[in-house]
Amino acid sequence: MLEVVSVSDDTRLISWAQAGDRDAFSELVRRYRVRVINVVYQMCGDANLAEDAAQDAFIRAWQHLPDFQPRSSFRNWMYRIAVNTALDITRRDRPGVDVESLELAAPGENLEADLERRERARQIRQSVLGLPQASRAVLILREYEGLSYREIAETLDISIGTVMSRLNYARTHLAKILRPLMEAA
Amino acid sequence: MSGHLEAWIDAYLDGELSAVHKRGADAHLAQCQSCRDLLAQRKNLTALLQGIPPASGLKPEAHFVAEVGLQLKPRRERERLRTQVIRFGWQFFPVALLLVLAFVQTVFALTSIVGVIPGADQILANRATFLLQLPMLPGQLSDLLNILGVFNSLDWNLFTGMAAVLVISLIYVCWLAGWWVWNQRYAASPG
Repeated sequence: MLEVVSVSDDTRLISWAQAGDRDAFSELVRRYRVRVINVVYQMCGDANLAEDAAQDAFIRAWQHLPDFQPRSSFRNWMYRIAVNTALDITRRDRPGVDVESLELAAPGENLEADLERRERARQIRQSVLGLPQASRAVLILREYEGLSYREIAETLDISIGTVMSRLNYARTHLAKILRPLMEAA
Repeated sequence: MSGHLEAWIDAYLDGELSAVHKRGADAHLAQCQSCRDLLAQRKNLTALLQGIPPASGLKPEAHFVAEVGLQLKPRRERERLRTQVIRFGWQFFPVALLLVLAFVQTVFALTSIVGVIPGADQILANRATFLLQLPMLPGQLSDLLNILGVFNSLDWNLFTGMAAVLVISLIYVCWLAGWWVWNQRYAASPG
């Protein structure tokens, strides 16, 4: 059944996975792995935790897949599971920024510049983690995943007006906190 | 759009404004330094946020997929069955309502027929009361049937018939609303 891998859209993969085809589901995991990990990572700030949480998110998706209706967006459905899983983790573990998971210095970059870059990334991430969960989820889906307001509203089951107000709050708050970094840049 | 753009600046930056609103915002920005500063600040913030590196040192893709595969359990059959039963219930409800409507219409038609035959209504009404004498019919149920007018069904007039159809229509509208809400939640309600 794995010739499905060649299909460009997810529809057939989803229907096969709904019927219990694990290979089709594995292909979906392959396709959405990076996005799900990124969302969870931005939400909790710890790469290792994010990877484990992303696996949990896919396991939840497998369990609930028969309930998924193909007329809705699978990507947004996965984002929703990812955000919920990340919220569960942040409630349980209260993770902070995992500095080790930030990228190592690029070849040719000196140690001082690398440390400075890491420190800046840590500050930004810490500021994002300091946002209320609801605003953080909206900001991450917009800034890092590029979802439209309508898609964010559908994903989080909130109104577009709420998306706008949460995004406005998050950006205004971050602009205040990160002003020194913005001025330095 | 009037005044400064604080409330709209994010929608402007994200390309979410309608063409009309965008033209208004452009016109305002052309003459307002503070809104231009705010827009520049927002752009800087976005650049700063997007400039931080993604997570690194992740497991290889094949490793990740294999681990997920190993943790997949057979789906909970009971849960799936429950969902199917609920879905069937939702779908069967309008059919049941249609049957009730058919029953009401039949009774209504019978009432009309019985009404024109002299003495027929009395005979049928006497027959219907036998239900009250049945020993297996609990008191509350016979009271309920009385309240619902089952024992007086042959006395239905135009008002009773119309009221019954109205009630059924209201129930149907409530069902439609409930079905829509349930579908909205059901379509996207994982974990």
